[in-house]
Amino acid sequence: MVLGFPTALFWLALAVPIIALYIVKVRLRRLHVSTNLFWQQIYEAKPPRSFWQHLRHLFSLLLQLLLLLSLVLAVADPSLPWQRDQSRRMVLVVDCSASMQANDVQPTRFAAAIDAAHRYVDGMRSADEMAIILAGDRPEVVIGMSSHVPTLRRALSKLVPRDVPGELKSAVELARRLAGDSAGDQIVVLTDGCAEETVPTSLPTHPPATSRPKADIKYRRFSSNAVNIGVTQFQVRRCHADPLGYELLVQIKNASAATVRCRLELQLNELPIDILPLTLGPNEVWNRSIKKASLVGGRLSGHLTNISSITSTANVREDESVADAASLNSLSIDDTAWAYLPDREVRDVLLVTPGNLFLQKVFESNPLVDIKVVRKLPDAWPRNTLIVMHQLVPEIIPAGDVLIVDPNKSTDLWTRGKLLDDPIITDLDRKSSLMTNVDLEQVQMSQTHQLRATGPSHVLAGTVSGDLVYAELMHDNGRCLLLATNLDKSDLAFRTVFPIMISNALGWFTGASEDLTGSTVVANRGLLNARESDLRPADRTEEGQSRQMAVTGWFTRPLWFYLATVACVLTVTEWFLYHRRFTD
Amino acid sequence: MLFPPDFLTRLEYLSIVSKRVFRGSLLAQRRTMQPGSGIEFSAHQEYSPGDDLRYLDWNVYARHGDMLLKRFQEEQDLHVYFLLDCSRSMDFGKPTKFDLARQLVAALAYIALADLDRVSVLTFSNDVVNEFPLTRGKERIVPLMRFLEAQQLTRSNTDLSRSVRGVLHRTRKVGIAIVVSDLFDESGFQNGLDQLRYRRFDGHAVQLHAPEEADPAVLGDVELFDVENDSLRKVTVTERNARTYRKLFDDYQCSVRDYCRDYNWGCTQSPATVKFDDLVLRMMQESRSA
Repeated sequence: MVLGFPTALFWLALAVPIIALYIVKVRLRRLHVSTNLFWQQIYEAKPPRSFWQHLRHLFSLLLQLLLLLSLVLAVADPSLPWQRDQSRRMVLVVDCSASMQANDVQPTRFAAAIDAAHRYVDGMRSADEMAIILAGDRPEVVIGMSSHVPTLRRALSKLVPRDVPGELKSAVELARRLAGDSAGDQIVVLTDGCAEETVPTSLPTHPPATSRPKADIKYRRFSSNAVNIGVTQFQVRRCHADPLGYELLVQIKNASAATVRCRLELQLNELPIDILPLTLGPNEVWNRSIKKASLVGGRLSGHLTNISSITSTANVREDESVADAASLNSLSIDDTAWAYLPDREVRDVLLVTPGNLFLQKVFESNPLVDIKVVRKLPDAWPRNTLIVMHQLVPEIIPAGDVLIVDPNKSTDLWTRGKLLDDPIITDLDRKSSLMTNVDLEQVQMSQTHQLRATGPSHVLAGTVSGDLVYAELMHDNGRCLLLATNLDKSDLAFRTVFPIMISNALGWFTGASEDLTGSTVVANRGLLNARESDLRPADRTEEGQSRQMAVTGWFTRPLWFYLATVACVLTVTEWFLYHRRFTD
Repeated sequence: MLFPPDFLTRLEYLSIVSKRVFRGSLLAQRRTMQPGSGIEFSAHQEYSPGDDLRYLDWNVYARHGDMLLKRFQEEQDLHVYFLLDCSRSMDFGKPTKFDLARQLVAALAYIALADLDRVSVLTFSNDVVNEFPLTRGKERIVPLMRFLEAQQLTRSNTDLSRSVRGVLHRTRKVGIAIVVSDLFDESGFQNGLDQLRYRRFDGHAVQLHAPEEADPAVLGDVELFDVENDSLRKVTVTERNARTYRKLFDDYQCSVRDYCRDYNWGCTQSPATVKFDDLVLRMMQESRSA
């Protein structure tokens, strides 16, 4: 046996005063009594100070000496030779994914895993080392290799589950790198088996021999075949075609073998906007794109409520029974999902035109536009306003966002040329967001003047002769769109493409996403992970194994723990004997 | 100090209280029922030839013609014997039982002497140790107090039976025997008291005890040392033993009360912590109520 702190043996000197006190104690206290009349009657039934009474003092002394020996040895931290030679290195991988918050294992899967981790820490001997890795969406080393038990305990007590999907594969890989090449190292993965990349199907305690690393990997599973229903997808986007509209994509998964009935309650800024009754068959994934309209944006949330199961009888009639919602829904965090819907901004538009009802109406019909119409060029240009100039243009185009339609003269950005009778549009930039759903090939554009950009430009629509019809001009202090079409002579104003063009232009000026075609996707929140919402472990044939593996073996704690336990037992025994002397 | 300077004053107070309030119910003014030549009229008796004509009630004869003799109650002196225990067991308590016993004897003796009774004090342990002979007159209280003050505890066992035999040898006339003791007699207190009863003594037992005797606050391994016979006994006192001791002590006290009640004796039991005058007053109350 090897002692960690041999100097603690000096405490054995306390045996000397114990023995001395024992010897002193044998000399009994003398009590003067006026008569033995009563004491004699008490003790005449049994002889005083029987053999056991004499012996139990000696027994008590032996107990006290054993107690001292146990305590001193516990402080000395002994270890057996084989324990000293086999100092262990262990890496604990704790799965902190969202499914670990399920309460099918009391109190939760994560709490049970932490308890198990504490037991591993309890079993550490003085030469053992342990590291802890948290396996969330990204592996995270909570504490490196350490043999300091209090530090490990503190680290474990600070761990909390996260609302993220688990990424066990990379966590195990990190654990392997942390464990190193030493033989006998051990990686223990505490998981529920619901991560994306998780426990092998057969739960092997050793990887295949061909690629076997030196560190053993053991999986301990904390899960049962719990059922759950949750929102696995919840996305919202604005439609460019509809200034007020938005689309909501919802996916709900029933991860159970029963038919489940529930309600999906949709709220925008805590105000209900819709309630959808749902009936989901076993393992059914329900997808739906829901269109709604709202000028204002905000927090759009979906809640699953009134969850109940439907049990079908042998006959045709369905007998509905409301089962315990908690038993059908072991994970509550995926019952709610939310996304943020952006506000639609009302844009101030100044329309300078000698008069064109089509152009005026196409702006007035757009609810995102606050239009002001003037008949001549103003002296000063307003700020933060989209300026639409029809025919009337100044010599110098003002700063800011400007849309020019059929200018009547040349400016600093273009020169106006001859009249084109029937220009044929052949060059269309279909990739631009300005040209989404815009097809000008069938549009007659009579009486269109030839325009040439004086600076750099990006032609969105051009004629076969190379003249621009619709172009984006490079402008120093803003953006400028130039449409050469004569609205009065061409049939563009009568076509449905015209409001689409204007709507695209408004979106382009507003600065909406240009890389997504016709939509705006915003960040969404919630668990939204189909695998995490399915609380059933990947290996459903090995349910019993988790319980078997959860059992901690005997004699796993260090020797000092057992010595301290023996000391406690001896203390209780000595106290019992001491107390018995006065109560028996 | 056993008898403080105001002790006699307190005795006088007790004497007055005894006469005026309790009308001598404790000791004084006792009369024998024997007819004789006293001055207290007792009853009439039919005249028989040969009776002394001096006692014929001539008034009754003159009025009714009946010949009746007048009988008178004869007054005799009351003899009060105090049996004071001076064994080592009386040296317990604070104050000791022996001190209270001596103060009590002095007080009762003063009351008796004040009523012109004859008083004698005998100390005993395993036999009669000392005797203050029969005396009369209130002025004899001082020598009696000196006698009591001079008494020492002996190192012998209490033997009440043998001691009473010694007392009976020394006394010629019966009277009241007041036993002041703890009555811790291993051979039993009944033998001694029985002998007094057989000799037609009126009796009163005053049993004193120390509080630690009634409830010994001791637990664990101890060596019991009996102060009367110097015997040692190593025992382990448990809570159960202590409970048994208290029960035995209570039973013993109860047996003393039962004995006195059965044989019409007075009985006073008290811890040694009470004052002697309170105890005397209590005795007077108990005697009147009895």
